[in-house]
Amino acid sequence: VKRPPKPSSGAHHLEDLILALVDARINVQKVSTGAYKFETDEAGPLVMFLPPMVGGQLVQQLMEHFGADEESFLPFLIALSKKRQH
Amino acid sequence: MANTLHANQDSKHLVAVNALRVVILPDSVGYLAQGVEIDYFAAGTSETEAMDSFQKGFALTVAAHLKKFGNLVRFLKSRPSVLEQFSDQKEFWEFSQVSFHELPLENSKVSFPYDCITFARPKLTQFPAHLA
Repeated sequence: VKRPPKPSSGAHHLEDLILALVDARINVQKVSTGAYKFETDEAGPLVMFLPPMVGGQLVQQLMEHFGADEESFLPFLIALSKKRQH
Repeated sequence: MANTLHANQDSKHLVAVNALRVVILPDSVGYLAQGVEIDYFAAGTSETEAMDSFQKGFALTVAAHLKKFGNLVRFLKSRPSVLEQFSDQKEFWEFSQVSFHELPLENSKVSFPYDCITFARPKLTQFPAHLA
């Protein structure tokens, strides 16, 4: 498993994060208001209550937990970069 | 691994044996609650929200592992890599505040190696740039 890149320390929208996780083939299921279950066969389930805006440290933790590699998260990082430019 | 923590609160001396330690870290939009012995983490816009999200999400994750695998082997073996950067920083492991909370595992019939959660705030004042 490649070590994931360091994400930006800026604020990220929860929707962007979830789309990036889906792109990285991490199964995402909403279980209740504000609570989501993330899952892969290797890591098993992870249930989290997430605020609408998430920090870079949380993004990094999720990527490391599931072993998401740089290639999987590249579109997410590019999207964040574009957002910061506007 | 037993982790004994001592804390003074309102003239009371508290001791927790086999405490699951959770460190509260600053994040760009609030706080991150990161387990030390277990790679579970939660976020919140305030310390209280991060701690509350940790407790609730932790219980649901334990339940999800029991439902899928019938055990907690995968959950308990994971270790957080985010804390590696602090492994040689003594000040990080000295806590300014420690609060004790019950483990929210009321209906769990499995043996769990921790008897409570302790949320701790490091004395460290200068965090790496990506955490601050």
